[in-house]
Amino acid sequence: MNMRIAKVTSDGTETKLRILAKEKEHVRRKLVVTAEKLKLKAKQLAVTAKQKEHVRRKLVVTAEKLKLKAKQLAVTAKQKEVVRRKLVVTADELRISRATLEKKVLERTKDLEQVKAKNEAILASIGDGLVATDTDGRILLVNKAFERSLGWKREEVIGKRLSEVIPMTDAIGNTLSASERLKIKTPNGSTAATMYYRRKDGTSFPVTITVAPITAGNRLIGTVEVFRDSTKEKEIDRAKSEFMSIASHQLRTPLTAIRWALSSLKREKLTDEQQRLVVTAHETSTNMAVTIRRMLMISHLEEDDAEPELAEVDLHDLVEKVTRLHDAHCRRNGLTLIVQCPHTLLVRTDEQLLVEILDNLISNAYKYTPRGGTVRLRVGKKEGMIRISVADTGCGIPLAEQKRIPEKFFRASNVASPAEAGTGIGLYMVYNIARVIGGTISFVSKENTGSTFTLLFPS
Amino acid sequence: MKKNIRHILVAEDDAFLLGMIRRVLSKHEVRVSTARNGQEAIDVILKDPPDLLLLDLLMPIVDGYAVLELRKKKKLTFPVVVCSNLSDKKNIVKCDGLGVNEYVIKSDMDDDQIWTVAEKYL
Repeated sequence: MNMRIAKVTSDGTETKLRILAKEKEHVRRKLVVTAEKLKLKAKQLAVTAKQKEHVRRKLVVTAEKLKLKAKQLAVTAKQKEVVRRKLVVTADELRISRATLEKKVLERTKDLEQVKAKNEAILASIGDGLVATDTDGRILLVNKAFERSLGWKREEVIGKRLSEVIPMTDAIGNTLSASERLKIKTPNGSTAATMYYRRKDGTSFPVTITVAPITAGNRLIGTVEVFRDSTKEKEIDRAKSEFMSIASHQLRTPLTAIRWALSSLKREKLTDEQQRLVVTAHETSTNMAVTIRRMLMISHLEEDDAEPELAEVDLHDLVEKVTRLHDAHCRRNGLTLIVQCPHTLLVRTDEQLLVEILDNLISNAYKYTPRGGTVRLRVGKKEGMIRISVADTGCGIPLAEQKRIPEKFFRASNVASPAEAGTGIGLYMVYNIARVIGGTISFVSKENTGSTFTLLFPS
Repeated sequence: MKKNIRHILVAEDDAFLLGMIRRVLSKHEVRVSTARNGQEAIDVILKDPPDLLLLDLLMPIVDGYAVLELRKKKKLTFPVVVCSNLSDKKNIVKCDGLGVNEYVIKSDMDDDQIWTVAEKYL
């Protein structure tokens, strides 16, 4: 019905409606397009939103990280502050320490300077000449006495070789080479024979030298030499020798008269009492002559120029000669002498000095062996060395005193009776003579059993 | 004077010792001359050369060395034994150089040992 009404209403309206519809369709289509556009836009917006959300999340994460970092930085800053403060304190302390140290260094330097000045004063004041050299023999240091006695100034000799600056000569003026200079030193560091130093002006003087190594840790870094002008000592030695020579001559002249008179009297017919007196007096004068001889020999041996006079010596003959000198003593004391010596044993040595040694050893053996005892003298050669031993069955030397045997004037406490009187110079002399002939003396001894003295020397 | 009797000259300034030596030597078949100083010894040597000279060194007027010098100069060959109380090396070496046969120290021997030494050279 409605549709019929409308048809009826008018065709105009219908057209109008159609246009309206068309317009509406157009609007609808536009709306669809817009809707489509909007839909697209919404889609884009959704994507953008999603992206933004992602970015936001990332930002949140970054922010968290930054927050953490900030926290860490805050901690570090705090720590740094602590360190800084500590450093400030330390710097203050260091400043104080430095100041203290500087003060101490100054004080120590002053002390060292004082010690150095003192040492230099000590070195300068040493009356003996002093020179230190490096391992090359170059002079490192000299003292005032060195300058004074040799005429060289310190600055002229430092760094130069000692052997070139100060020539050393022997008693007859031969200059020693650097290697020879080293050889003249004895194990204890002092010179064995008299040597001379030549001054800058060419004159010479006798010196006594002591040399010691300078070591740093275990390393030898040089030597220090102390020397003394021994001119005075030489003069004293000469005067002593001269005095000994004159004194001994003056003593010997009257002694000869006494000895000869008594020896002559001994051969006369005398009463027993007279004979006893004369024999004793003669023996005493003989002992006195021996003492004088020994004192002269010691005086000679103590001079540093004692040298052996080497010659071919037949030991068999020499032993026989020396033992014969003591035959009377041997018989008188009821002793037995047993000699073991190869026939014709030739050696090159100083006969007189060897006689002195044997004379002493045999005389001691007889002196300190009680009646009925035995003295054994053995001579032998082994590996270029001659060995002579004199063994007795005598009173021996107390163990505690054995070390003192080579001493001058030493006498063992168990032989103090006047009948065995001795001077204590015999063995001292024997040790010294043995040294001169390049030999050694050794002994074994047991109290109340006996002693064996052995001389060992090169053949 | 028998020809085979040996002649010993003793030069010694000490009269007592000289007497002792003479006494010891005279017990044996020898002729002994004595001199109290070097000059006397030289005089005897020149006039009556000995077969042996026993010579002291320290003597007045001229000493033993002067005697030894003369012996050397005159090329005399009789043996000489120096009997001295000097024992330093210096003297012994000097005597050695002057052709002395033996050097003995008087105080180191008895009187009769003089003969033991002298006998070796006769």
